Amino acid sequence: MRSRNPARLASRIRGVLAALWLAAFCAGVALPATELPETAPLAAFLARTQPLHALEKILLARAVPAAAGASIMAALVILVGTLVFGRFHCSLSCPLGTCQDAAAWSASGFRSPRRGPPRMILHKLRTTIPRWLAAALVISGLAAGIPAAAALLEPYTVFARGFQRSFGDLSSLVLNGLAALGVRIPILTVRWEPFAFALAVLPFGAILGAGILRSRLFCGELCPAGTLLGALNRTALLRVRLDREACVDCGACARVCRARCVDGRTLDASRCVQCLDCVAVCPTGALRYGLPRRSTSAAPVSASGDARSAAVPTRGTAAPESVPDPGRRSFLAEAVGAALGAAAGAALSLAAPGLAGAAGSPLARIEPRGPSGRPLAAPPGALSVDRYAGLCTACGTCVRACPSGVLKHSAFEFGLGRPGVPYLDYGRAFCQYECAACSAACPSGALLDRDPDLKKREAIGKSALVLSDCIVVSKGTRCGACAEHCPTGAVRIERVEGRPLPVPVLHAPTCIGCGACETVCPSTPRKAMTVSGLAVHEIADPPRKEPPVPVEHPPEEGFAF
Amino acid sequence: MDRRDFLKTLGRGAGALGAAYFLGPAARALAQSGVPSAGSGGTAPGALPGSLPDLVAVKGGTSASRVDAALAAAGGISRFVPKGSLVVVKPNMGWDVRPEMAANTDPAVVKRIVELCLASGARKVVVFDHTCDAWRAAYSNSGIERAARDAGAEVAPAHAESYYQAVEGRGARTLKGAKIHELLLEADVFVNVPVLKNHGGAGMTCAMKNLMGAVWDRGYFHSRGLDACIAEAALLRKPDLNIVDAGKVMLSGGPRGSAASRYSEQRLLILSPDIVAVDVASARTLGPGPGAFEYIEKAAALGLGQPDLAKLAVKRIEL
Repeated sequence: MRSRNPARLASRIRGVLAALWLAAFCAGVALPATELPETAPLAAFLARTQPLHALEKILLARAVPAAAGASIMAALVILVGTLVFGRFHCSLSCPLGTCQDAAAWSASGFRSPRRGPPRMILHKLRTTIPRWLAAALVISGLAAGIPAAAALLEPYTVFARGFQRSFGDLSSLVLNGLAALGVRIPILTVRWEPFAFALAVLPFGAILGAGILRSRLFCGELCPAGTLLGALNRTALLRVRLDREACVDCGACARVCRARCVDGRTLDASRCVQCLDCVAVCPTGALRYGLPRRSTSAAPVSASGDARSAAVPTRGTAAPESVPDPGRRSFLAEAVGAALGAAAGAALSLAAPGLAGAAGSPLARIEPRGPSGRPLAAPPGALSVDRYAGLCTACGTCVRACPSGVLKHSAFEFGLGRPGVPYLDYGRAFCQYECAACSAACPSGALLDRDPDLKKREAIGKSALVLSDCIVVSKGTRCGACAEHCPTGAVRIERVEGRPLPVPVLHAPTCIGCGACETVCPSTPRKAMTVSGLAVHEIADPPRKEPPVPVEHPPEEGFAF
Repeated sequence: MDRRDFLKTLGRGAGALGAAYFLGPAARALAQSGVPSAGSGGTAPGALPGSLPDLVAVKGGTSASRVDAALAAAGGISRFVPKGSLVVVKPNMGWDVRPEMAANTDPAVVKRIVELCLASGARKVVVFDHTCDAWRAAYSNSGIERAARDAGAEVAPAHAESYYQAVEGRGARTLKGAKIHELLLEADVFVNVPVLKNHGGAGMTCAMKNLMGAVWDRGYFHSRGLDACIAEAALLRKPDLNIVDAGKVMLSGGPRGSAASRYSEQRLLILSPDIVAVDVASARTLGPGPGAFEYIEKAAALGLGQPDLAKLAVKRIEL
């Protein structure tokens, strides 16, 4: 190795760690638990490490500390870590960030070398305000129950949904194609859903495309997590720092900077992701990672005679009025952006009850309905449709964690401000009684992970029985598929006076809306058992302890034949 | 190493990984498909020779010792499983519930049967079920997947229609054809290993009803008449041997079982190549008797077996 530069080594180690972290993410989200249940715990763990969802779960979803341990830990590590070590998350543990690096790197042969922005301060002013407005839209949107902006901009959401739908769906098409050609491999039952595919692939593709053209454009100019962490990065104890007097204006830093936040004159700490690449290439040590140097005014003025270095005044020089201080302007720009963002956020929050609160608002439907016209059911742990859909960024972690495949991304059924929110599609599968994988996996707290016994009592919907549609009545044949599958004994096959054959009898208070009866009901064209989602989840009666008819116990000794 | 070399290496690595990802399962599948089998029925014997019992019932002991005793009394596993044969062992593992619920076949029974088949020289033993609950959860939480694998069986998926192939039901009036799992078409020996329990729709689920888990379209059974279809399912592919797990018998709340379910500790295992005879013995064990279940009568009328146990040599063993 040529390099004896510790910064070069550090920047390489960072790159390797980030790539490994991304690889783990990719493995975790590539295929849903219906296909590859082994990766589900990895995916659920990694989802917990992302800062915006962690904050959402703690502050907005108000998960009890016992259930939000991992999120609290992640939030603390990232917030305190950023204050001490700078904005490390974005270059180390953000999968979308590393994806953009990978996109830029893979395309590096096809485009000209990166150049820093020529007028950093102008650039700063131009980007700061949109960035803060985007952050405000995301955060106040989540607080107000209109998570559309988060669904499009929250980095983990964009990555997880985008990677799974692009890689996972496409590779399952390939694998099933091979299977159809006679190769015996397990058939994947991933279903093609145009809206979910578009919602996933468009933002992901746009951000990766921007990554190819301009590396970490998204991180510096749109990402809400990046904007918050960037603000903290400005006051970080340790971070990349620029000593302008030592700069010889060689431009090496501007060429390698993935965030386009540094040239020789300025370093925009709010967009710097601490990748250390500039430190690694700086020939003079003007860029370094560390504590602030004490008493910059006492530093000797560069004697290199370099024109620009002489033209740019340092804090100690005499003419602050004539040439403005870039540090101060940068701070002012940041402050203006943050203030505007806060104002926009406050305005949105004030307007929100009018936008989201009213039932029937096109932004947020309190009682979303599916194609059948029946209310859609939200997964267990949602507590209520409004609470759940108002917090859900449609990251799809629950959809991938579901072992039965009953969860499906909606389009705009939950409202225009709540795109992609998953619901239970009983036409394809039903909710497994013993399972609480969705609420255990949810990183945002839209689904709360609670006592598994409570999950078995949480009524997410209620079944309805139309006996005249039941084949026992309409076709005079024995059935009982609904009662066979009912986990709580809410539907039973009983002898009813006036009916020649035993018919299903529904005891609604015990029904938890798992949908097993609807999924398996063989009646056509209309199912005799159908489930309607509950807008506010209820606690169902416990499973019935008594059999419908007295059970005769056969003798246990000897043979009955 | 310069950047170009590094990229090439990386590209090769990624290519190899990608190829492994797509081709690995394919290669394994090709290797497994092996030579074409001789077809069903050719190597598997039908009924037992006269000197041996037609039906064996074993009471007491453990799940595994009942299997051992029943097969020993029936003349040994080698009577049913010739050397080099491909064996399908089809338990009931349709439900994502713990083994104590007795909604699925006892994993210890499946395990012992697989071990004996392999010890008898079977080329391969395959275990599958078309589950009612999510298949991976049911395979795993029933405990059968692990037990079968530990014993050396291959556990095959059965959750997608493309695993199933259409066959004709010869002599059937209702179920004239259905798609059954392709492994059954390849298998030399089909061992049906149901659990005996109460069933909300069919009254009792045992050997004949267990065949529904080898068929793709279960809804057809429900909508065309459960009793007729259950009886005629054995016409699609008749099991060569039926081994009924009646260790812990669910008396009510079946097939899934619930908190309200009642149980009977029978500690019983019933074995016979005659699918009607095992269901008759099982119906007596469950309580109501064979007259309560229309499909047993229909199957007997189709000539699928002997419903009158008095006409059979029945061997009863107490351990």
